[in-house]
Amino acid sequence: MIELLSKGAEAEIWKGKWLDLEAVFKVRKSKPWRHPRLDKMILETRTVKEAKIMYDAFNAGIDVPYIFDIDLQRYTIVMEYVRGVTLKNVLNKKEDKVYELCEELGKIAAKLHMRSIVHGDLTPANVIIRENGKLCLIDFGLANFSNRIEDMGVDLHLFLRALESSFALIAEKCFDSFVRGYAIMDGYKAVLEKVKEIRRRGRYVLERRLVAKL
Amino acid sequence: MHVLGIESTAHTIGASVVSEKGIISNVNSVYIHPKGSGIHPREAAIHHSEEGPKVIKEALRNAGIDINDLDAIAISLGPGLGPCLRVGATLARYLSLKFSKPLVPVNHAVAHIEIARFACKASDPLVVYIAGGNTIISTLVDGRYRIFGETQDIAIGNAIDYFGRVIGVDYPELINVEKLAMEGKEIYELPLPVKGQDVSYSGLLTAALKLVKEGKKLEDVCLSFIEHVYATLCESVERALAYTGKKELLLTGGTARSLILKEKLKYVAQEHDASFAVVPAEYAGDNGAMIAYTGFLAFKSGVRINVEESYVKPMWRIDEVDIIWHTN
Ligand SMILES: Nc1ncnc2c1ncn2[C@@H]1O[C@H](COP(=O)(O)OP(=O)(O)O)[C@@H](O)[C@H]1O
Ligand SMILES: [Mg+2]
Repeated sequence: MIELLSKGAEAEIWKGKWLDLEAVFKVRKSKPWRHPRLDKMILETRTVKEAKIMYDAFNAGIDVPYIFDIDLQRYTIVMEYVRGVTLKNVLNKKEDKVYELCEELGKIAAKLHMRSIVHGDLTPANVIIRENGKLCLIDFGLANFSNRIEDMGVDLHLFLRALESSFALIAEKCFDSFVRGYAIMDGYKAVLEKVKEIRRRGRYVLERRLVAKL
Repeated sequence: MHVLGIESTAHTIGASVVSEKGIISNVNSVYIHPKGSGIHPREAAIHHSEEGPKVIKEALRNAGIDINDLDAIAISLGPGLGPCLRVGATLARYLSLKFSKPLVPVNHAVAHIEIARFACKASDPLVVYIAGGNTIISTLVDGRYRIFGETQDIAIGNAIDYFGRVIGVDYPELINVEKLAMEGKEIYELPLPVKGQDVSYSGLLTAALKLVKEGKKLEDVCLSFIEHVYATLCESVERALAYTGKKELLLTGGTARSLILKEKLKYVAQEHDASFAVVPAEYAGDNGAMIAYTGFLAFKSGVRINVEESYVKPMWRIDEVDIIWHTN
């Protein structure tokens, strides 16, 4: 018995059984608007990379779904099914515990970054709150190995922007809580500075001049 | 009620009159840069100051309205190039004082969205606004156009135009690069920098230009470049559609004239059960009508600005503007 959990931008998420365990099948989809060769290149690279990074994060003691299997013919990763609700769902309800959860997520982001892993899509939809209350990070589809402050800054920037765009009223307080957790990392201040810079850059830059200098 | 709108943020000086009946005139004059170079703000500003008064007179004449019968003057105060913005702002302030007409500030990016919503009758769209200076994926949430994705460095239109100028194609570079791409066969792997919902094009541009230098077949480099650029954008759009759950996708801005991208975005919308609309060509590039129309909406909702406070804002962000004329 297999059930479609979500039809995301990149992949379909199916719930089923692997051996006797509840499992999630993350199946990357071909995109009709991509050139077929580019499409194949992207699907392969991303499937392998996602699995590799999840495995590394797992070994670093970060809570991510356990990987059961990889099927490169079908661009599929088989992993543990994590019972719980996403952080996005909880934010929608604006309960008080969201601030604690954001702080906890800040700590997790710091741990990832200390292991030179950047998530690449750190949004509330990609965090599952397990039934025991612990946070499990999912969707490493855009993750990378990187030591660059810039890439770490992008993680924070994306989280902040997701908050601002969907939960404008509590965004600031949530992000402050996140930063409180994130501060366990040495050098976190440099990353925060970078976030400011990224935001400034995204603001309407006088592009034509910028390009003239390229 | 009649509102005159004036646009002069970059290469276009435009004027238009909008009333309850809709857009009743739209006159635009575009500064064409010399081959091989980008827009030069001061040259463009000279063009605008020469053409501005003519464009305004013609817009009023085509609308069959005397300037005394206007109810307000809307002006695009940013974002854009300082020297260009100042030409339009000066004209608007002068007319506002001389004929005692209220002045209405309009954000250029908001105007690109509003004109597309109007022309395509979109009620609650996810908007892709792409142009020489902007790459923004946005939708209205809590009274502001919130940004779900944007470029972290250069805009998509700019990346393509710059690439086109280096390889030596004529204006409009976008269309000519695409035509070359349609003849390409080989795809080279280039960086695909999707950062969550954001995009970034400078690395991709540099890598593509390197292939040109290495003497790879131009058509193939164009194909690889265009495919990567659009794959990156489509992916961000997809993520935004998935994240927001919007069922309408709306494409606006100068780069909306692309021949290839429309087809790709149509597929993206289909996959997410969303409808897809593209702003009509006449309102794709910068134009007076979008300013007049947005000014009309704003004026009706009570938006005004004192002449003394009507500074131009070259960096005015879309999400700083309160959108009080839509209910959703
Ligand atoms: N291991 C898992 N256990 C439980 N639910 C999951 C798991 N992986 C994904 N999901 C659910 O599917 C959704 C989409 O998965 P995700 O990996 O984020 O794919 P996408 O790239 O489409 O965002 C998640 O928000 C979550 O609700
Ligand atoms: Mg996800």
